[in-house]
Amino acid sequence: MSSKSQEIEAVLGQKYRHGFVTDIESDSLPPGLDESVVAAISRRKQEPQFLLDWRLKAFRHWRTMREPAWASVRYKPIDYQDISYYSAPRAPTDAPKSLDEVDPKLLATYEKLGIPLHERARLAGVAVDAVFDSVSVATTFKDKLAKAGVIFCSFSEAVRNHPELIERHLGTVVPIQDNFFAALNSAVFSDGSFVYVPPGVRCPMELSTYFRINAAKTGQFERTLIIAAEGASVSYLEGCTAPMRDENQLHAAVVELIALDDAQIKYSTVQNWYPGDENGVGGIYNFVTKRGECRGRNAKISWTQVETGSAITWKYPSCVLKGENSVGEFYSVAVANNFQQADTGTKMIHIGRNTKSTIVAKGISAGHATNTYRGLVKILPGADGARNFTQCDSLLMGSRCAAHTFPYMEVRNPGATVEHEASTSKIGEDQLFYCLQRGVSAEDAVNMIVSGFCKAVFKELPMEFAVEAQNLLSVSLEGAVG
Amino acid sequence: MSSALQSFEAALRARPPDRLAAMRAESMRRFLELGLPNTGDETWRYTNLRGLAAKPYVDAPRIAAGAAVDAAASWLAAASTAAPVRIVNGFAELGDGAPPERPGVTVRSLRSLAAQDPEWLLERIAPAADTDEERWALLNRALFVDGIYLRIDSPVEDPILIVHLALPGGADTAVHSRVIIETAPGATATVIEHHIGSNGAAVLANSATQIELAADSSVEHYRVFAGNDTMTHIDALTVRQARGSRCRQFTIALGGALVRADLRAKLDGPGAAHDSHSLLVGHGSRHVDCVATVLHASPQATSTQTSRAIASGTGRVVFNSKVVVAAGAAGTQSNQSARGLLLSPTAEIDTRPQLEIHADDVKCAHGATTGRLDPDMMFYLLSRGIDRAAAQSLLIYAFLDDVLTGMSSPAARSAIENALIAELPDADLLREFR
Amino acid sequence: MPGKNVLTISKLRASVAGKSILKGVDLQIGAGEVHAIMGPNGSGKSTLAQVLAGREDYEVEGGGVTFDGQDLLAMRPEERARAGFFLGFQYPVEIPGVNNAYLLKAALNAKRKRAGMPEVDAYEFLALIKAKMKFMQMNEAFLSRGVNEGFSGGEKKRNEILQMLVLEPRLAVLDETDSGLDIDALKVVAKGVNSLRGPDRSIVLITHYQRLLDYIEPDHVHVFSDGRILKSGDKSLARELESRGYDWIQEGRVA
Repeated sequence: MSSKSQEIEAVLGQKYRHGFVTDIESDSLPPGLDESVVAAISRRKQEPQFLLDWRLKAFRHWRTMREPAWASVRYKPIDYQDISYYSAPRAPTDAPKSLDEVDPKLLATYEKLGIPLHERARLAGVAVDAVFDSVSVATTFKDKLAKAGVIFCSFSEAVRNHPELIERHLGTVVPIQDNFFAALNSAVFSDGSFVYVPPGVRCPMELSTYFRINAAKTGQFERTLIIAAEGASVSYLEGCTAPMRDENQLHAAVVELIALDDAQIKYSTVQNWYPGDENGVGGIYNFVTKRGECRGRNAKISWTQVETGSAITWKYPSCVLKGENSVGEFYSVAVANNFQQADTGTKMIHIGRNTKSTIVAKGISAGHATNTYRGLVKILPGADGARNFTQCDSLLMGSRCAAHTFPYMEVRNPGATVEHEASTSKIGEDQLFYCLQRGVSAEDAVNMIVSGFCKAVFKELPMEFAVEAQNLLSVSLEGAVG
Repeated sequence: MSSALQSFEAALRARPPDRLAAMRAESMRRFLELGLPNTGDETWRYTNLRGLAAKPYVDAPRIAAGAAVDAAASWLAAASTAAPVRIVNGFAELGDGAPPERPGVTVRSLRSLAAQDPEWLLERIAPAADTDEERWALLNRALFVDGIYLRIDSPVEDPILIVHLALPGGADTAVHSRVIIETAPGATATVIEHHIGSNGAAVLANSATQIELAADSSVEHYRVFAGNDTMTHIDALTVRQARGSRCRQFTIALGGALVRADLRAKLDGPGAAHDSHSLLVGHGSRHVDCVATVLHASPQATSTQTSRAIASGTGRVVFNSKVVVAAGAAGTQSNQSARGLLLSPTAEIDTRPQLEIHADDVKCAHGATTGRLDPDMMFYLLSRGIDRAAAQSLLIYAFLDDVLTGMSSPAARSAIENALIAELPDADLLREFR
Repeated sequence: MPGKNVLTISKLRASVAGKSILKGVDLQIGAGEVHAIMGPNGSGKSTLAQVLAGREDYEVEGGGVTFDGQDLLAMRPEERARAGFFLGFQYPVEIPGVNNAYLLKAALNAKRKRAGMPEVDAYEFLALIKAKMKFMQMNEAFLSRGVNEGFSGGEKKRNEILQMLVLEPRLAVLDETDSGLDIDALKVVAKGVNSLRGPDRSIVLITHYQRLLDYIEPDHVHVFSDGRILKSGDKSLARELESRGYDWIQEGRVA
């Protein structure tokens, strides 16, 4: 076993593949946060008055709030005054009109990340709204989307061109007072994505954004708003990777999804931010609020996530099922290795009649990591015929890691059915041995077993993401058997 | 400070100090520092004590032994051939007419032990942690007036029945009683604690039981809450199990306005086995909150937790279970099964089956469901000509089967079934069904 | 047609969750007759059985059913059972915690009570059921188990027939009782069904295959398709279906 352990350590010692920093001048605000900083962000982005007022309201509320302490994560206190709340890559003109106008250094960065932007975009038919630090710099396939009537742009652009949509919908799913990090985001959010799919339209392509955190000490505060009108459908892909840094970086995004009658939104994430090194130094703090509201009848919101990165993950993509017959889904793979801490899960709030939700959560813990599933299923009195099924399984690799399962089932309707199943076990030694005996290497055997364990989630990912997710999992876990 | 807290502090001050005074004072100090739990505390999320906090409580009066006998008639009496041990308003009745000691069983009053050998007793009174679950246990350490020390030295066949009777004084009355059960290696026994209260003003019972199981000993323990509709019952059960010991625990909530039943079991030796079962009935406007934590502190231990909850009317039942596997507890196996049956649109069932695992060589699983009676089962029974109410009762009864069949004392099971059936519609039919 | 009709279904239409399944079923079952209803999957055969038994998930949208002169659709499921209507389920549900013997005894007594007969006592009942179990080649251990709990598919079907034998219904509708049975089990089930045949009892076999009809000979065979009876005939129709499939009838209908 000990030689196997060494082998494992060696594989686990693989350095973070995406660790490098691009040298680009940043146009940043100095660290610190007060009302003038909030106003400055709004001013730089030439925002309308309603948005500035909204930010200030959020900021004032945030100051009355305390950082939540209930999650199973430990970290040094964050000094919110030591963070710069705005940085944008400097560009010669305001915004590039095409890929040719994009800073070649940026494009090179994407190349290193294995994201050949234009090629991939052309081949895969994916429109890419790439976020570098906080501001969108490249958007493609706009014409095709415009023809379909789909609005897909940076959040700032949406504020300029569609202020009425922003004013009507912003903060209606995640209100500013929702939680500490959501309030902070509402005050200082820099940019993000906006999607509007008009009634009856099936978005003609998968929409995708690649996030990167680059400049040191810059928090990143994305704001994403996706609206699918009656009968519309859209699939949105979010992928992240970040360069190696020793200093912890804060990320507090907010994503709001709104699905009206018969609308469908599928939101997929592969999160691979820098997790810190093998000693637990550095890594991203990922405090994200993601929530979707099925406002209309027969609406459906589906979250799929593969979380392999970040030093700390605090994330509960949720569904508020208001519309009759609406459906919420959450499929998650969360991997925590070394000193990573993940506290993630979902909330399914059943309000409307015959609402249905499915939760499939797979947690993998290795090294000294802590991986927690935390999920709430709440059935309110009006939710006649509501159904939930939850399956959450944990796989343990190594004797120093921890895996927790904390479900909450609150049922207030006698016509509802809520089912929860969970299991926690060590990676199967007999399965491993079987593979080894057949001549499969330990690494490959672990990969096979883990991907089998995660299969129910991977099959929910769009094809091109499934491959990437599989690769990420291998990198994160090769040989992680104790 | 709330009225309740003030009254608890005043009660301690008003009593003549005994030889446990230092421990009592320290426990009270800590309790007051922490205050009453509120819904912000993780294990009190679903139970609001605001109403209780506003009341000034007085110590329950000591009742003359004879006067209490009738009121203490327990429907579980048939479970034991010996006379029950009675604890009335916290005071153990071991004077004249007390049950004769049986071979292998020693019964002492905690009051007398406190007077004779306080150091010995102090060693045995379990320390309470500062966690939100254990605040009431702290209060019990400060205020218990008396109770029972029960030692089992050899295999004892006949179940031992302890009847806790709470009788109100004039105003809001608080009763604090304690039971300490110890086994010798290899000893076995069945111990039944039956909590009853007679009608009258509201009583707050804050009881604590600790069970220390020596190596290879075995105890089947029942706690049955059957207080009246004004009674608030908070009970803390602590179990510590040595190597190879076995504990089968049954928590049955059939009465009381509010029942909060905590269980903390620590599997402290290799091969220890713990099986806890809960049968929680929240009819009318009852509130039942059961918090059960099993800590696997040693390798190769096994545990199961089985709960069946029924809520109707405006009742609310909470089942909050947790299995904690400490680092190094290799070979742990645990299973939790929590099922809830919701019978009315104004009732609520909250279930939290949790796993907290710090070791890798484990097999832990839990399953939880909440819902109504299965419509397919219902239709099947109807299609065979069974009438609707009877079919419903049958299915409710079947739902509880997994807990009932786990009871190895037929007399106890029979008595509990009878009491349970009386709570369900179609009692006659169900009696026949058994 | 010997005797009067036990069951008369006229223009019966029913839907589930807004989807129309039965689209005007007409069928008459005389006393002592055995009818077989055959048809492809999804044609509505099982829905018909469930509607007749009173399943609430189905909405009756039109038409009527009389059972021994009574309005069957106005009766609750348990009343239909006591009046002598028996459904042998295609997928009998498992009910852990409810004892097989108890269920049978309660069902039998409910029926006897309605007929103004005294309840059977435990001894009579035990003698009765043991005889029937022996006939059905069932292990007595079944008696102490939960209803269908842990039974194999074949055991469940056998248990359905056992219940039918104990309850002696006026009309038994057996929904795919033959599916999932090996040949030996099929013979036992057929033996059970045949033992119940008599001038006062009628049986409806819903089945997919001709195989069962080799052992239980029907008086009438009906082909069910798209929510109604397309064709009726005698037992030769079943053989024709076996050799030619269902398509020719469906095509014939279009033409």
